[in-house]
Amino acid sequence: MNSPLITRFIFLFVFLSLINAQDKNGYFSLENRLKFGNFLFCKGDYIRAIDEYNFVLTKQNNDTLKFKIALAYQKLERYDESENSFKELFTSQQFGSEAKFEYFKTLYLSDKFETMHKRIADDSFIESSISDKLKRLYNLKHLYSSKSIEDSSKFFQPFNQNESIELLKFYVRKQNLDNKSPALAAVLSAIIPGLGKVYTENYGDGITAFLLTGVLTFLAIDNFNADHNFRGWLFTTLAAYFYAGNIYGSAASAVLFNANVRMNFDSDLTLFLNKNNHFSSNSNLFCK
Amino acid sequence: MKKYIYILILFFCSVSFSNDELARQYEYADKLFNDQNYFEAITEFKRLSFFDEKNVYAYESNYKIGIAYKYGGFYDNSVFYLSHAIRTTENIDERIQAEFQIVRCNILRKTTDRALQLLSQMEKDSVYSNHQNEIHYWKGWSYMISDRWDSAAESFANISDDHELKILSEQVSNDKYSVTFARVISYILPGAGQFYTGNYLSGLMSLAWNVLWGYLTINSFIENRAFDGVAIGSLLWLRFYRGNIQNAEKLAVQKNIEIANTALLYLMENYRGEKP
Repeated sequence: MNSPLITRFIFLFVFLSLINAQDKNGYFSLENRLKFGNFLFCKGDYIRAIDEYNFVLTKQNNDTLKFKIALAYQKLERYDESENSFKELFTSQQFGSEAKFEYFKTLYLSDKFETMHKRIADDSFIESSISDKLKRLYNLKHLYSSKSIEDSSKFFQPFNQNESIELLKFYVRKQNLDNKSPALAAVLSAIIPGLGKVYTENYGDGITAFLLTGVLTFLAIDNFNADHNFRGWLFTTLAAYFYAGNIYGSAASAVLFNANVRMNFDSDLTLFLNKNNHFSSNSNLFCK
Repeated sequence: MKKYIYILILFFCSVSFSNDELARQYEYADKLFNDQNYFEAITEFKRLSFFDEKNVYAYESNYKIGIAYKYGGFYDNSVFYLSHAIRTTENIDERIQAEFQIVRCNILRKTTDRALQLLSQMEKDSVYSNHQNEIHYWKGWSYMISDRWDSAAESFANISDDHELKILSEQVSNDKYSVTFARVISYILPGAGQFYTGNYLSGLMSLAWNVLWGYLTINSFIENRAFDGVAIGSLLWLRFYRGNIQNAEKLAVQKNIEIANTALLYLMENYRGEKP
């Protein structure tokens, strides 16, 4: 073999090696780490995807990766890190608006209602392209609040007609939550034993408490009248115990009733909003 | 013609060069795995899987990712990758190895019914004919974790009559209190169930309260005050009588949990055999 032929073979060897081993030395090349990071991100392995993206970011500046890292933190429910990462992108030309929206969504998901309130009132934060989307999230958060919503026209304004129809059911339900007053329940039971329980819709307990307290009081009086003082005091103690217990129990029953009503409402609302993706666009822009 | 042969040789050389890179990645991931750096090992095995387009290391990667997740306590992920490992291999030994690991994950995540179901299927399968002892062994573990020590002893007895875990299971089974017995003797004599479980003060208190309310109930009937008798009997005597039975049951259950936990702690800290 002459030397030009050897040179050609060497060249061919290197060329074919590069074709076959395109990703090899490159398993840890920037391009491949990015590919691998994207794969992990779409598979939901966010912690490892963040590691890959962070490595790439040490070598090159890339807003897409920063945005994806912030999204990954949001998915991992590491909301503080997510907020900070989105904040860094507020001035990004490519992701500025989306970052503000996702930042606001992170506040919404982490129940930071006060910060949401401050941000929505800040004109420099609100951009026209995302204004409606932000207001939707802000208004939806009101449904979770214990306070009633004063202006219904403002509440439904950012939603379209179909969305408003769907939300109306929850709006009406929230405005008319059937809460019971613990103080009233206690007073009712003090006047007629068991009435407070009936008020909190614990009918069985109410009737039982009424009958027990009544029978025990009768027995106490009857025993005192028949000079059976020991049994008289015994039944008096029992009657007093049941009477006092019933007053306390009625107030507790009202508190439980309210907590139950609120819990059912919140859980139905969360299910509904999750199903409708919180009336915001799908944030999973990067995976098919 | 010679030229083409040279090109072909060079092509295969270059292919093997590329495979060497996969092998290097596998070695790197495996080293992390052996060093018990499971988080990094999972990352590197996943990287290997991602670039291993021809699935040369599909089984090894998925299997070791599954095991690494198991050591990290992520049993659902572990079962997912082990199941995936089974789908990527035709080798019977590898399938069996992964199947047993899935059983062990089920034991660890306390889905012992699923572990027992898998083991029963394996028991009936002729492929596992040489692994019957292993099946009995993990069945025993499933029963121990699900607090069925009698069944555990039977499973270990299938391996050997003097198997260490058979003796332990029998001992636990014997040490445990009968909840039914505690309840029945408390029906007959209030407080007896508490005495049976070694709670003497509680037993004495139960007996005393029942004697007091029983006396007052009977006394009311003797004095022809039946209504008083019914009220004291139902509101106090019956309440304390029922409470005494429930208390005896609760104490027996508590004692049994303590006994089982002591045995499980022993297994965790002192048992030298294979653990899930």
